[in-house]
Amino acid sequence: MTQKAKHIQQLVKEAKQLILQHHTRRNFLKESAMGLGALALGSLFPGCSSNSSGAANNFFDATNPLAPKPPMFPGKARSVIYIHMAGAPSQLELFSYKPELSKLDGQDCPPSLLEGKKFAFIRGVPKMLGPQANFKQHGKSGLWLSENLPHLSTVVDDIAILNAVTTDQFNHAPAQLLMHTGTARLGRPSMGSWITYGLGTENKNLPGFVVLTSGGNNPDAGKSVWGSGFLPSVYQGVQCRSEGDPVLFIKDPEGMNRDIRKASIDAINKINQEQYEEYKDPEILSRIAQYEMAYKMQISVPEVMNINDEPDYIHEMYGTKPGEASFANNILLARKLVEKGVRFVQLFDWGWDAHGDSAGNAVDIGLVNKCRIVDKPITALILDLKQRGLLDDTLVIWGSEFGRTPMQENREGKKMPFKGRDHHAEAFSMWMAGGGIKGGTSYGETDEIGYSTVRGKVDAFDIQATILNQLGFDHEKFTYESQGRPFRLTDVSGKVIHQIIS
Amino acid sequence: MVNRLWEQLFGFGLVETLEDFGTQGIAPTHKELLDHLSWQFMNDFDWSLKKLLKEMVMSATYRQDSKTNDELIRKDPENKLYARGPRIRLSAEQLRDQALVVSNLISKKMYGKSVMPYQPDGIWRSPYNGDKWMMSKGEDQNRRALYTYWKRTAPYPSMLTFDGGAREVCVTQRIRTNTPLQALTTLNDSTYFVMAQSFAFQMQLLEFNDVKKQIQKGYESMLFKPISDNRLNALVELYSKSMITFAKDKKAAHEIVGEGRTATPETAALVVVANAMLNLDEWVNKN
Amino acid sequence: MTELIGRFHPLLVHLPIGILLLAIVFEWLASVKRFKYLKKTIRLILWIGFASAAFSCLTGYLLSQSGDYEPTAVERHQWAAIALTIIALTYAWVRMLRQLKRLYKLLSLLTLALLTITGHLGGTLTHGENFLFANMNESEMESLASIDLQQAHLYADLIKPILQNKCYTCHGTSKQKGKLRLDLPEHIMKGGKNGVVLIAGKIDESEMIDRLQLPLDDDDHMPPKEKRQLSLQEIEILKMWIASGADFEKTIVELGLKADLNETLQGLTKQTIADVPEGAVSLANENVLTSLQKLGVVILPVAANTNYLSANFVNVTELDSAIALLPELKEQLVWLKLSDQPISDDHLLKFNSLKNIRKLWLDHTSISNAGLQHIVSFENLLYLNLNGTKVSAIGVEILQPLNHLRDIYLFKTNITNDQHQSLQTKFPDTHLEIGNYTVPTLPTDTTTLKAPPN
Repeated sequence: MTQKAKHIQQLVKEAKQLILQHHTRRNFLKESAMGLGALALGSLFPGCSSNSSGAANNFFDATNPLAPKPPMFPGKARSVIYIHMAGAPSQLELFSYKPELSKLDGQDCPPSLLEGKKFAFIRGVPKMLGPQANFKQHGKSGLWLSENLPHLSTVVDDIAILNAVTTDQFNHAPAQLLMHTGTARLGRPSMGSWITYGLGTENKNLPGFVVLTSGGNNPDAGKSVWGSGFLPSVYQGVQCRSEGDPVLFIKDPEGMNRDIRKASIDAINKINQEQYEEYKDPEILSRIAQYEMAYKMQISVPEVMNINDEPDYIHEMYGTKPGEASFANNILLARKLVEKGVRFVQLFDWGWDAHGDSAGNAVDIGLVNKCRIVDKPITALILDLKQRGLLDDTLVIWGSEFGRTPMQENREGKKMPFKGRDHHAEAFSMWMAGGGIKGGTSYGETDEIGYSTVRGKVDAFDIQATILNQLGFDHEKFTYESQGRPFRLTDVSGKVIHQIIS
Repeated sequence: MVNRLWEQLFGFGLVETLEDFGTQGIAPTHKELLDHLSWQFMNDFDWSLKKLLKEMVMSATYRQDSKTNDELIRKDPENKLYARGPRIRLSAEQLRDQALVVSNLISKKMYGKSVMPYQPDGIWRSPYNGDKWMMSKGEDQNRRALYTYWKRTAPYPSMLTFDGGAREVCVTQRIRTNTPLQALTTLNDSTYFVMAQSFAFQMQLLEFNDVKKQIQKGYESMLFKPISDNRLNALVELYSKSMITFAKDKKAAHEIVGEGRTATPETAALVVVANAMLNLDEWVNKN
Repeated sequence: MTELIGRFHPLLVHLPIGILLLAIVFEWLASVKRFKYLKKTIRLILWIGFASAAFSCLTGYLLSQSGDYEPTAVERHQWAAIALTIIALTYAWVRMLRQLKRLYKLLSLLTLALLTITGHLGGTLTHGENFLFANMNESEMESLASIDLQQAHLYADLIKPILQNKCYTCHGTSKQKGKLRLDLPEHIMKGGKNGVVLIAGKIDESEMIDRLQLPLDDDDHMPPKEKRQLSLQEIEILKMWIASGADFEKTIVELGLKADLNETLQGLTKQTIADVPEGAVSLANENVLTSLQKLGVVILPVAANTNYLSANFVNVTELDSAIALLPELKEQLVWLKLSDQPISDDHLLKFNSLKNIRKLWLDHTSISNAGLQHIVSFENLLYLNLNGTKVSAIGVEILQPLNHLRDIYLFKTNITNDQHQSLQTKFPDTHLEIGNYTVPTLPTDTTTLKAPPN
């Protein structure tokens, strides 16, 4: 008792001392200038009054940051599979049919196209390069697709192609960052982080945002394309790996068996429970729950990441082989994860940078081979989602950071050994499917040689806005307060592409 | 400055938005206190951080017990009124350093280049260069978190899990989260497991025979307070359960204890206990 | 910048109107003895009125440079305004000289007349011709419905009235926003500033339809948010017209659109319902929600702005007790996901009252045909997933009365491909998905191209 009394006494003493320090600069400012200023400003901008905004806008519960949350309005999509071809495939050999360009094949590029433009590698006057693939119309919708995608051609009526996507970055890393985080510089949260922040995750035994990479390398921009930027780091993408632990530290140390692990978690939680009885801090209860969840994750994650148990017809369909690190395996995993309630699955496949400096990088050789790797699994994904009733509420996006030039690359002004194209930011193609997207549509048009956009131009922000819209968010109102101002994924632009929404 | 130090000690600043004292930030909870400390910092302490820090940690507010009760939680869930002591989770770096110290592995070496402690394979996989994470040798493995090599496109994973900044952008304040991935890190990351092994040996050194005493001493060395009976019982129970398993499975016991030590079932069981102890809430939180 | 100043014109013109009117009123009031004292102020008011008129003229000139308005109408308004300004100046001058007192009243009448003319001409520019006397209560749909489809010309009798009612004010004779006119066939086909607005036969590529169908909030939506909107039927009719080739001459019968149009005009298009009910619903019982959460059910509003709920049983710990609680939420629960749970037919017994369910996932549960009996009462059901269950074709037939059903998923059930065919004919408006897709392995899938040998 005396101890407590002493405490209180001292607290009172400290408080008294504080009252003495009443008239300081801050106080004065607050009471005079600030008061007037705030009064005037407050009445002008009712939405910006100081007390109601501030960090209070960041809605998440730190003790359970991944708790599921409702969107702003009922969304068509509940989860997203984003397939990114890192390196940028050529739209002119896949989706963008340009018969005029083949007539110009081998001719010098007209100077009007080069004036005031910068390219990553093209120097001087390059030659035009005709399409290196044959195109045909497919499906009821009659969309044009090249022979490089024979499987995808069979499901064109389920996808919506955007043929006039633009960006303002012509180097891989910044362009990837722009596509995924809304800025070409490091430091903003990625789309998946925004979405897990906004919606949380329904299956508490799995992470909400999973990243899968293939093609031998991580994307150029590194883990920043699935980083959480200024959002709490719990919203960053969890990279699931095909070799080693599927999720870092998911495996018990060597020699530890499940019983002992269970016993130790029980012991930890028993002690934590006692700790809670003493301290009553709800954070402790949350920690107990996290340890239980960790134990369950140790079972559920390897289970979902294991494709061995999939039936043969599925392996046949996707072209998957258990045990190898392949794009097809990642695609199948994406389906499994979404089926189990993972919110955002991000796939990166590296190796699409067709400059033509080697056979593997030629638009008529390497690109074709890459297409053969991805075409079948992607098509299988769409059909499999469809038959499982998942395509209704799963938004699939296929795309890249930019496109490729209608000109043949001439690095340092010299002819390249193989047919290749340079980075092209002004026009490229992407497609979306499911999650309320109108299948069999094509939106946007480029000029006769596919150099620049003519109609239906969209950029990364428009695509991000559309994705958020399908999930039930108004991209202009979905914000996070950081460094004194609210931030948006789409920054200050972005328009939902209603033309491809059913 | 005062606000930032306060945040370091109490978990959140007197002005919660550290980066913004303006109209868009949150108003200070104890404006007068902030003013008073700032004035002291400038005049009485002559800008000495050390003195300011001392003033704060010696205050009755800081030295309060962080025990609380339902009524306090209802009235003031975030402890903005400081009726109890702060209770916050340690930062990623603090956690590593603290575990290194208690397991007696810490390297006191200062200055010099960053080092590369254990990290699982395949974190770095950048295109266009073949840089690899080369594990540092010997003592460098166990230097403080401060010295860990940091690559922005592929940061050190276990620190990131505990809300370490990715250093892509200036962060004034880390948000403390609580996730199962953190549990997995401190349970299974081999860095932390090696520390558990070493901590177990440490406990054995302190007290040769009696397991109970070993755990008691270990607990005291961790938290500077005697262990309660319930806690002790829980840990002893874990010890005996593990003992049964490891007595039967010599190979597992060997793996648990690690290379270069005699793998008795007793030691293995104590490693499991140490691993659990390094995961206790009172260990990862500051009370 | 000049353009911005110009845009203030419609605001500023109200100053000279008000101020000059005040001067005129004072002029006449002042002849009454009681108000004689007003005389002294008239001169000042007139000067201010003149200044505001002059400034309005200036901003009006800047606005006219934007070219959104019909030039001849602008010209008339312009000269009327200049005349008004000069008269106002003269009036003020005469009043200042304090001579020619007889002229005061005459000048005031003249000002009033010019004020009226200028104002009206200005109004015509912004609101379109005849805005003053336009028939306000004419219901256009009524007039459309009264058309004799046998005789009528598509453009003249249907399309033109729609454009006239909803588009001419901004895209007609007096104003051409975006350089677009829609009042004559050649203007319609010519398009506006951004190129052609319609491509005969291609609805998807016609910007006009595109813009009509954008959400109201979109900046590019037409007509602008604050103007009168086209009805869904009107948009349908425009689409039909464009799809049929945007003809300006032929009759409806000649184009073979009579039946379709008749259907549209009668509003016979099938009513579809949304994923979430439109009306409001009361808040769900808080206690039920917390108990469900404790049992591991993810129960959430489908969106932050509604009380309708979705439930997902993925983390559920006590299935039976959780299911027993669901009837308490019969008003609010619209989406229910029970995938992968050991749900039996008996569990569904409890479901009879859940009439608001619109999406239901029962995939990979243990239900069979018998269970489907209990969901026939879900009259608003849109989506039903029965993948991986033991249901068969006979069982699914029970669901026929559910005429809002959009999709039924029947992958990996007892239904064969043949049964699927015949079953589908019994569900004309529902998509039955049986799956079993394959992606053949093409020879090219497994071969790798190599560089040609040099």
